[in-house]
Amino acid sequence: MAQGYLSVILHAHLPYIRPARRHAGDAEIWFYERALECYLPLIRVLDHLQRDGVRTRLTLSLSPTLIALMRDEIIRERLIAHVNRMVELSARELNRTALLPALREPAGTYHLRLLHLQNALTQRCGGELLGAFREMEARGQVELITGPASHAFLPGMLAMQPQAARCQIRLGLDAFESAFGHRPGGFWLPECAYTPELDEILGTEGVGYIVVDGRALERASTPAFHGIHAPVYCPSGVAAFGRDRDAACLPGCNAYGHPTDPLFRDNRRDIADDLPLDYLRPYLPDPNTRIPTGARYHRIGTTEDGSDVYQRKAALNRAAEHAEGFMRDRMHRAQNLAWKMDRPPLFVCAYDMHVFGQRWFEGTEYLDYLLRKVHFDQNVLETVTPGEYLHRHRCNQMTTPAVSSWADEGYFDQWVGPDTAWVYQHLSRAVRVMRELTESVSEQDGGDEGKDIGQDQEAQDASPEGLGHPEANDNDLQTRALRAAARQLVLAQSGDWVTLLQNPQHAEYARTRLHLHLSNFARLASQIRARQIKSGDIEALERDWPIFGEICPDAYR
Amino acid sequence: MKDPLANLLYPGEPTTATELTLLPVSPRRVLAAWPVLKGNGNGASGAGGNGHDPEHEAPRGDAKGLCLRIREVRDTELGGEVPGQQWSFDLADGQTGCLVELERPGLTVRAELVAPPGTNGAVPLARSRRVRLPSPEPVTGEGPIRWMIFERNGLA
Repeated sequence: MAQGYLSVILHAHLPYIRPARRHAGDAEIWFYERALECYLPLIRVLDHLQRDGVRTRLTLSLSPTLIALMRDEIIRERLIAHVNRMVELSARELNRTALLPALREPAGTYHLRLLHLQNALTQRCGGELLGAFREMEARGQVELITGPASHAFLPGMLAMQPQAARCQIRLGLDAFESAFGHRPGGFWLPECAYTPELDEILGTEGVGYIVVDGRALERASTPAFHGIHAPVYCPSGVAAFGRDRDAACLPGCNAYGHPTDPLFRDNRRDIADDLPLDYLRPYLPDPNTRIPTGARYHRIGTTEDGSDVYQRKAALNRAAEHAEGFMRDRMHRAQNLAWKMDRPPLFVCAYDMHVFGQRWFEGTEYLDYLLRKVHFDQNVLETVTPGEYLHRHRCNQMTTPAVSSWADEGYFDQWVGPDTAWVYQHLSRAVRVMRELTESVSEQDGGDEGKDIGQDQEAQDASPEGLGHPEANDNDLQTRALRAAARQLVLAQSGDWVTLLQNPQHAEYARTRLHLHLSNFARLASQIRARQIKSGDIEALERDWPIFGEICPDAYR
Repeated sequence: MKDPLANLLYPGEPTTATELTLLPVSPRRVLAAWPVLKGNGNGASGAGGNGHDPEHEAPRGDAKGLCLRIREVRDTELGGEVPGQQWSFDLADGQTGCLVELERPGLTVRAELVAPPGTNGAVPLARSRRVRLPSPEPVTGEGPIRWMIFERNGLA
């Protein structure tokens, strides 16, 4: 039996992006970048681990909006086109760098990598990333979990109306089930933001476990007996796993997962910034807009002779050293803790998945080395998923974790600050309107019960505006309008907007999206209240935002 | 920062302040938000401060003189509660939210929106639920440790 458990949890999320009509917009590119730099390399790593007989237990959290993007046919087609274009560009780069000895090697390495990833996407995944994750789950290599529907900041939702939080959680679980055919065992809390009032909702929605910041256990109502090295049960029975903050800072990277080791690739220097637009144009989705190509040939630091050209082999060797160091450190801690505990201590290493490969180019290889080393080079640590842990250790302490998040200070300042508080006010107002709408529609339906058609006709004739009561199929239209309104509200509640508002580069996009969803919502609310629903408007919104088909406005009542 | 969506109206929104939301942000900070008030129909203004910051003032409205009161709540041994210290913040016309910094961390508080004297008297327009701000200190209690076995649904 192992003396310690290592539970690696990778969380991936992107806001839902409506595919642009003609070509991929800026936000849509985020998905293609992440697919190419993170999801596909991770799938390759896990396939290779499986092929080589490495026992791996990894937890992957895929947000419902990301799942929807992976299922979207337009996005899938455009992803393949994007990868093909990048492969063509990298091939052209071989010609351009043929006479530049310093850059020839990194350009060749990058081209080869892209060919592998292209093959992984088209041959291995058949163009569908979600299928690969499904397969990895079926073979027991990963445990898949999800989070709130649109990655809403749940303590904020809860403060507005408990129904808002419940709707986010229920819809997230439903969307996951629709994609994978089963409910997830675990539930990812965006930003690891937890407040004890969430517990009852999580419990009644059937959530098995959550991941909280380690400080939530350290400051729990009764301090966690094993600290962060064992989960606790919240009063509802939901298990809370405490994130190990020491493990959260990856070796060779800063606290946000950006590499700092001088041997690692410098992600800030992309050929898209240096080369003429005419050269890049054939490979850009929008011929007039530069986007990062991913072709980056420089490292963070310089060598003694002043060269800053990226050397792949040296970088990978360093990543392997970091993996070794990380593992040895956890082994040492596990051995120190093991005699104090009635079970092997657990280290919950939860990260943003996009650190691996996207922010930190060598990150996926680091993960590969770490999992191989844990399997082959020692017998102290064993990888487990939280679900697997709970099967092995059913008896756990019961306590109430404290208010917390994974922010530096451990609270919510990062998401509810002077510059972003207005967002919650709008969402709070919209949620109240949504609740009133669902209640009033329900009362109308209830009030209509028992009436016959003649009574309806009389009412229609007596109507001063001549609008009268809806026709028979208007109930269906009303339901669709309510669902469309709820969908717009859920999209407006995405926690991304608050985060992006604080980034000058993306603040305008966040404001535009918030305005779009809230004004769509307000327009629908107006139509529903006036009982003058425009079917064309509903159809356009259903067509443009094909997500959350499972949405049930009744959750707001 | 001003609310860029200040002119957005929500049809059917209650026009009286019937609900006041408190969101704990950190051990000493709490966000208070309330629906648009009757008469200041131009919508929300930005949150922040105690309403004196001209940047946060809404363009028009007639809810001048409103006051946000944050009241500390202490539990009694008999299970009731008694009011403790109280802090008042003047609100700008049209303001629908406020990020409040309290003097001490980890308090349990309620909030009230109070109309200016002579309009609705001293009757609060809205009251929030009771909210406990997180304590920055680790719990030092020596309460009994309870161990449980749960069979959760949905576990892999």
